[in-house]
Amino acid sequence: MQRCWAVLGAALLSITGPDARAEARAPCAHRDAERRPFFGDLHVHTAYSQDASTQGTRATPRDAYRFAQGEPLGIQPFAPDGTALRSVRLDRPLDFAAVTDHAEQIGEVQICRTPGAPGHGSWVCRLYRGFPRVAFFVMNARYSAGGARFGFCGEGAAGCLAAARTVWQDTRDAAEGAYDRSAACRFTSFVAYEWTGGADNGKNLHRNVIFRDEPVPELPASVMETGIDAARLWDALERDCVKGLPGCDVLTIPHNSNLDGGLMFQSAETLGAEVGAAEAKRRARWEPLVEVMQHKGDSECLLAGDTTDEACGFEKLPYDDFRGRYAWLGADPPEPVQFVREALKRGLALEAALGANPFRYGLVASTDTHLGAAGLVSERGFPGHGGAGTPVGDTVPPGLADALEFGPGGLAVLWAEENTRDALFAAMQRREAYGTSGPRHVVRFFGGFSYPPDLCELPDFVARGYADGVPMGGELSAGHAPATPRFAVHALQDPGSAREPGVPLQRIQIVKGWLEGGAVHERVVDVAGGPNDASVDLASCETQGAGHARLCAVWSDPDFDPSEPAFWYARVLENPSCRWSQHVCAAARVDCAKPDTIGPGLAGCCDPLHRATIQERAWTSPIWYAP
Amino acid sequence: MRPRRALLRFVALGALVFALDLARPPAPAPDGAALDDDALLVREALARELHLHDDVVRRRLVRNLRFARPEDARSDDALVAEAFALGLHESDLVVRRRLAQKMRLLFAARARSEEPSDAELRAWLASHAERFTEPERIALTQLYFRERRAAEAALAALAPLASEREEAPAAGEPLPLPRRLPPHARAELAARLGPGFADAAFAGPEGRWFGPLASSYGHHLVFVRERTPGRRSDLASVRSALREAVLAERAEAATRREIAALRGGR
Repeated sequence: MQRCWAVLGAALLSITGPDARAEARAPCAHRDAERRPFFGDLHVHTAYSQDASTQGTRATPRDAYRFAQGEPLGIQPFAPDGTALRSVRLDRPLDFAAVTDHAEQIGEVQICRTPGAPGHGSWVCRLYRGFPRVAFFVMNARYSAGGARFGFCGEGAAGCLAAARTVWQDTRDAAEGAYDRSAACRFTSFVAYEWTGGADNGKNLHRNVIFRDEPVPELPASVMETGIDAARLWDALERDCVKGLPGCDVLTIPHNSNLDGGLMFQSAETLGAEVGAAEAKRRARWEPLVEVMQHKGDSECLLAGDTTDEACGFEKLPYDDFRGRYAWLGADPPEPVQFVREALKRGLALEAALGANPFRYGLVASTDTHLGAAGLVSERGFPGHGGAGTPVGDTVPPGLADALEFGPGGLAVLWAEENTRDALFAAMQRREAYGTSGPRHVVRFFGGFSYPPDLCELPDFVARGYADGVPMGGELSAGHAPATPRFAVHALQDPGSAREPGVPLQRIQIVKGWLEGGAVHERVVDVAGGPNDASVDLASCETQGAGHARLCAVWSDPDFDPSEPAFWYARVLENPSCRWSQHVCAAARVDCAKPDTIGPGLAGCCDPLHRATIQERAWTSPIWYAP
Repeated sequence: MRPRRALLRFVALGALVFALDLARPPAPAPDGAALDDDALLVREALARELHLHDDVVRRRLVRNLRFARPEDARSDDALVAEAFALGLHESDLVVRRRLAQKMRLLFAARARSEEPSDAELRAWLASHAERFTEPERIALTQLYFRERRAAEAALAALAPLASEREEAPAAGEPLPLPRRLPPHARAELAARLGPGFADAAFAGPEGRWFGPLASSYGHHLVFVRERTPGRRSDLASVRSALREAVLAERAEAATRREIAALRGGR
């Protein structure tokens, strides 16, 4: 009898989980229980975004996914016969990508299904509602027969609009076509879009909305329906996906808090208010990740206020919202409250006050390309991402290809057992994720109370990392206190490619934030490697000086107090290398002391805001401790 | 019974539609020869009055007018009506791009309405072999050592028999990458461990430990578990990508035909 129950239990388990796959796909031939790092881009615009198409971008979501998988992409400007005058290609394809065009351009009123819409009562719409395939055939046959055009679409253009594909459907089909559902599990696409909420004509509240898999809602919820409070987006996603559509799951990733005018890490219920208790409980479910860096700069931390961390002086925009791009003199400078580290710290204080931490953010980076060029993060030959809003003319513009303060952006890295939508989405949900400013660093980060100090010397580093603690994104349980937690971090430099060799690592740092006596604090500690004499020859962009191919450290927090909530994340810094703009300036042999060497489009090389070098990096998701 | 009635209604409606169309005089077609593709598509979209009911177009026009005349308190509908009356929609870049895009999607919908047959998918696969070729791949297990001497010593310690078993007695040193790697193409392995490592691993034997091979991080002993020669993809493994490629190509061809017809002044 017992045996019967056991068999029945096993049968039920095989149906219901815990590992039940919602996906209809072949199982992957290879599954790694200790997980592998998958590199991707979760922020990609194509011609379906208005701010991309008006700059001459022609890439569709299909093109973006093919580019992500290593195929070349022709980019603007285009010759009259449609030939692209520039072409880009990834040295190393991505493992995953999500095309995230603006919802405001992909959602449409489906007039035949929307009572009250003009044309809803037309004969075409009645036919469409009753017999969609017949209506479709009639419309097409009618068109194919040629002849009349005026009034062809019928009342309220119902005929044409009923027959046309929506941009959303096209986006979904492109994602489906790119997703490898075979046992090889080589590439994953996500159906996704960008919700483009913002306040005061420039304070950015944008979120990327990433669906786990089909099914997805029939139309994306855009800011037109939800208004600018992100909580209303979550309401819509809950209604149309999580609760309203069996098998649907979704999360949202805020980005560019560096341009939020101070609003992103405030309430998503009421603009500008502090987060309340109900929202605090809800927000971490919807937003397990934040995009810490992209084309339009870094959002990790600001060298101001309590922060004396010099590495925060990295890819900063000189203004605090989008309007600053067009009115530098009148723009306000960025404030610490806009940055992720401040949000992580305030999250601890809010948790103490409200019982839940709304800002339990894991970290990823992405590009925000507006060329459809997913994962195009190289500093060499950067063609701009089109985010500056400047249309390219008929010829390739000379000099610097983008606004000086922008850059190629970074990558999202997910630790998962296999390259499938379910496995990657689960990694996002549990925050086992990190971001890089472009390079393909491999970074493991574990926290626990019983790691041996020599863990870096043990061949089963990873197995012990999981067995005796938690990986990045996890939470240390208070049960072990008052023991001192140890953090094990292991990083590999980017091996690079033949065209672009990787740059050695300089150091690994651990950034700690904690709550003490009601106030939040932070501290940055070098735990492996350290300051060195590495430099860059700015004329040739050759890197000089030694660094590390691999760094590993076990660090024990000497100031740990089991009564204080805290978080720790690892930051891995490379030796400095030439920034994209310096590659251009050096190749053009610009000498700012000699005005005749400053050719067209190269004035930025001598702008005081020009940064010649970049210290590429990776940021892991934090590990939290709550007493 | 029901299908028959549906068919009758369908035929009757079709006949009605054709009759209505034929009864209407064709619109005069301006000379399209001088217009580029997008301009032709925009002209066609305007003729079909798609602009009147498109949300993106309406929002754009409202935004433009509210920006130009912040004091104008009239309703969005009134502003849109005025914008149309003034012809603002015909010169706005965003509106024009949107309308061209709508036309492309309309053509695409027609072209994509039928599922491609297996024969069509096979033919496409055969004619695009370069896009659907699987490169040679090796699945390997690796042991990592910081020092070359340590790797050499570990290899030497493997008895001749043990060197042919994947379960090596030596443990190696930790690396934050899996010891057992799934099948990798040369480029994929190069991206993970460096180009030199990939070349050497592909040149090595199958089914026995060899090395040390230098990577970007140190030195490795390598055991190639499996080698899969390069080959053309089979239909089953790339069906979804193929289907999408066929449909996309069909849509593109249809769009080109439609544009050519518009240019010809159909």
